[in-house]
Amino acid sequence: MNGMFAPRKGRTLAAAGLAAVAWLSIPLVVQQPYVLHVLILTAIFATFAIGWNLVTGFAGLKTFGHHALFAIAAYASALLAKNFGWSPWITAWLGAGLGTLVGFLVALPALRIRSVAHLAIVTLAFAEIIRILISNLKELTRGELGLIGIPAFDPLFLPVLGRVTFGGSGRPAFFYLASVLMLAALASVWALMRSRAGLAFVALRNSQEAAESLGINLARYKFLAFAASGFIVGLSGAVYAHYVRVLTPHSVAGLEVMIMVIAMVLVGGIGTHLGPVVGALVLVGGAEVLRDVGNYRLLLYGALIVLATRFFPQGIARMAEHVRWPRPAVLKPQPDPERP
Amino acid sequence: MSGQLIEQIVNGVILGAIYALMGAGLTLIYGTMRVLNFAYGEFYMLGGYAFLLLTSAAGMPWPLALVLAAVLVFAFAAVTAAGVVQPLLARPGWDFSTIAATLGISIALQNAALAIWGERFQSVPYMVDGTLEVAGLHIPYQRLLIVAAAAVLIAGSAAILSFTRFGRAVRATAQDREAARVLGVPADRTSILAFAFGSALAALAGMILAPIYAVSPWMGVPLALKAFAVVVLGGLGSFRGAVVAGLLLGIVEAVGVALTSSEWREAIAFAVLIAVIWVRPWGLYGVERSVR
Amino acid sequence: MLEMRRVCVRYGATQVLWDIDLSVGEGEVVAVMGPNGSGKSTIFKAVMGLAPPFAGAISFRGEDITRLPVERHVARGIALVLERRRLFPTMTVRENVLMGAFHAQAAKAADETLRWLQGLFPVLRERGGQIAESLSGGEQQMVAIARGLMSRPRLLILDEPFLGLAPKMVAQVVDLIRAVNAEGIAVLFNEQNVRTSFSIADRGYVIESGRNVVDGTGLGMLEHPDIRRVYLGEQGAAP
Ligand SMILES: Nc1ncnc2c1ncn2[C@@H]1O[C@H](COP(=O)(O)OP(=O)(O)O)[C@@H](O)[C@H]1O
Ligand SMILES: [Mg+2]
Repeated sequence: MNGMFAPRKGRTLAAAGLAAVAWLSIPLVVQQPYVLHVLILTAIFATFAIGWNLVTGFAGLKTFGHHALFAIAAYASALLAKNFGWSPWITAWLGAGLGTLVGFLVALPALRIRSVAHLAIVTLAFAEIIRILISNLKELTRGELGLIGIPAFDPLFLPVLGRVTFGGSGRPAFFYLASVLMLAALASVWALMRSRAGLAFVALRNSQEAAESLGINLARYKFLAFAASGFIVGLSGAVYAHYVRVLTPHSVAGLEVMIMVIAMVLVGGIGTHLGPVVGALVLVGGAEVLRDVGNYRLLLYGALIVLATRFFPQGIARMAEHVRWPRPAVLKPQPDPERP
Repeated sequence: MSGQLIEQIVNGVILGAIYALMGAGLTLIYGTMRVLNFAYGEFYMLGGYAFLLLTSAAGMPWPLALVLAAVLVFAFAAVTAAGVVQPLLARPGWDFSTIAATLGISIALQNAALAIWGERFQSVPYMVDGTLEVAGLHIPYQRLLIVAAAAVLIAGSAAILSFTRFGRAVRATAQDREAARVLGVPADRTSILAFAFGSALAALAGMILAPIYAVSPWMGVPLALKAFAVVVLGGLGSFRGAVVAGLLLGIVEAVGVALTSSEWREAIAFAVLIAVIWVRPWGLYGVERSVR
Repeated sequence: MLEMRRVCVRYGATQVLWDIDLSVGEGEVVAVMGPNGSGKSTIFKAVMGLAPPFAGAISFRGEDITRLPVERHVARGIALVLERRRLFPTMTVRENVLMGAFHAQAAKAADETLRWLQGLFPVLRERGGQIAESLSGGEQQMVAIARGLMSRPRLLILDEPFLGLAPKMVAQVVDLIRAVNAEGIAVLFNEQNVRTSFSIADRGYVIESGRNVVDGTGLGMLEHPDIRRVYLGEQGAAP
């Protein structure tokens, strides 16, 4: 099997490397803080989208509550850094670790329930509880007033570059931080999907029954999918917290956040590697380019989800793939035999 | 203390009546289409606005506005179902795509309402004035009207499902879509109409509640979440289950709030929901095989 | 009256029927035979519009029905009883049977049709108020056939009518099919057992892997070497 794809794989890798280099050289050309700010947000939300796409797109475990993981990690990292004076470089990992743990927790219902409808409701209800907790635990989070004064990442002393600071918005340094985060997430998911686990995820997505009959340990891989995805989403949440440095329950735990990410992944192409990134660029970037759209951003996101599912289910990334390399028949979506 | 408790239970029944009505409409849609309509709360919201505009701007008497607004939302929901939801059902991955699409519709409608009518909370006058005083309880007639209207709408829907041709088509489609089609039941059209019918029930709930809760672009969100809890508790697709679970949730919530505080109201409902899905994912009246 | 010509069907990307030819005359009883998974049910689904052909044509009483939506077949006079009965589980027997008269024209004559069927199917009278799920397999099959007949079809298609039935019930269903046919209704059915099939069928078709293998009348077909190979599982049967 592998040999068949070897030339393709080589080309894909080369193209990916080129794209990464191009992305990373943006600050050499553009220095306006505003543009960088938009790109930083793009990279952070692309990372979130990559994490969600791993569990929903690749492993086929449809979950709608990942904004809770984003929020938990963001608040945890922010509170640890703010209240204990710990460095965000450390608390971000702790936040991501918490995201992983909560990911495990969210995986529990997915172990028992296969109905997409039930899973959607449980995950949404869970996220709602988290939002309510954040807004009601006012002594800790200041509730709807918002958590302010979140420390920025401490300056780093790097060889050649010297002192690099991450405060203020739209700094090239933060652009690189967010980009490394995004590229690392992309590469990890890419590697994961090429491992044994990736094969198990694909089997799981196509048919849980069939996967089970092949002797795949469903529970183990469901935990793995949720935990890995929780880690990625958690990390993106923590980085977000120390970038914007103000958190409100709505800005991170509101359903709107999840909807935005769903829109990104669907527009970009669910179950593809580049889909989340392309989608984030189109949505975050697009909304900023069309400044007038600003007020209607959510209206636009909602409409995009509807249009994407209805007329464009393959997404932009898969369209691009199709143009150059028709996919082998085995990867085509299978007809759904479960519909009553 | 006990007087307070009784008052909470009365409140719980009123709340429960609304939850039951909302749940009934949602479960009807799920039962026939197997679609979780996440835009459900927005049909409730559209009902509120349609009623508001027809009564205050157009100056219509409220009973007439009630009917006309329900018809308008019915038509809008039918178009949504035929244009977006039904076509998705024919494609692989429909169980996910329909949820995503209705979530998209939900957020789009909320923000369209925000753009058109603004973020102001607008109030609707009481349909009936006065307060019932009995055994030390003060219950405004408007609240009694809510319970009565919910009861009438639920009973009416049950009668439609049981005794009309449309009702038979809905039940047959819900139980075995293919077998129904073979017998000549136009299953697609039936699903679209069931979607519209369920959405009109939500709209009616939005209208009768409008005098108590204000009308705003987001008014549907908490109630839709409750309706989801209710249909899962009752067993997705079960009409009777939704009605029973709605009443139950209303009472549990009211008593729970009396024991804690109102800001935890939603959290209580969702915790109960998750607990139920944990022990009995098919709910009170559902069938176990439906969730596996 | 039913004509299938070079019908090809696929599910998604997998083709399961290849150039199927099949016909049923007025008042005829026709059997379709073949191993499991050979495409018998799919042939019926193609006729009914549940699995529309991508090539070939189907006509009924001179009219093309290749692309006719499923729901419109009843009105044309075709009824299909799906494999495994598929009764509406929580409806009563009576409600189930009445669903068979959903089509407007059938609904008008429902009372009369029901009386006729109650004569043929005692179970309708005895168990009318019972929930369908609570019936035995044989009784459910009777109800399913009655439900199909409520639309007063000219062609009744039965997918595996004997599946899982005790021998005594098989004999009852056989008698029923004969009685239905005696009213001038053509019957198209499938059944694994060739002898059972030919105890009622005028003609038969043998299908293998979605293709026609043999067709013919009566038990004489059984002597055909292809039948012995395909169907009776006799590898390299002696001539
Ligand atoms: N809904 C479906 N989707 C995909 N393949 C199907 C479907 N139904 C049947 N098949 C396949 O089509 C072939 C013929 O099936 P069927 O017509 O049910 O055979 P039979 O009735 O002779 O047992 C089988 O290989 C079966 O696996
Ligand atoms: Mg079959």
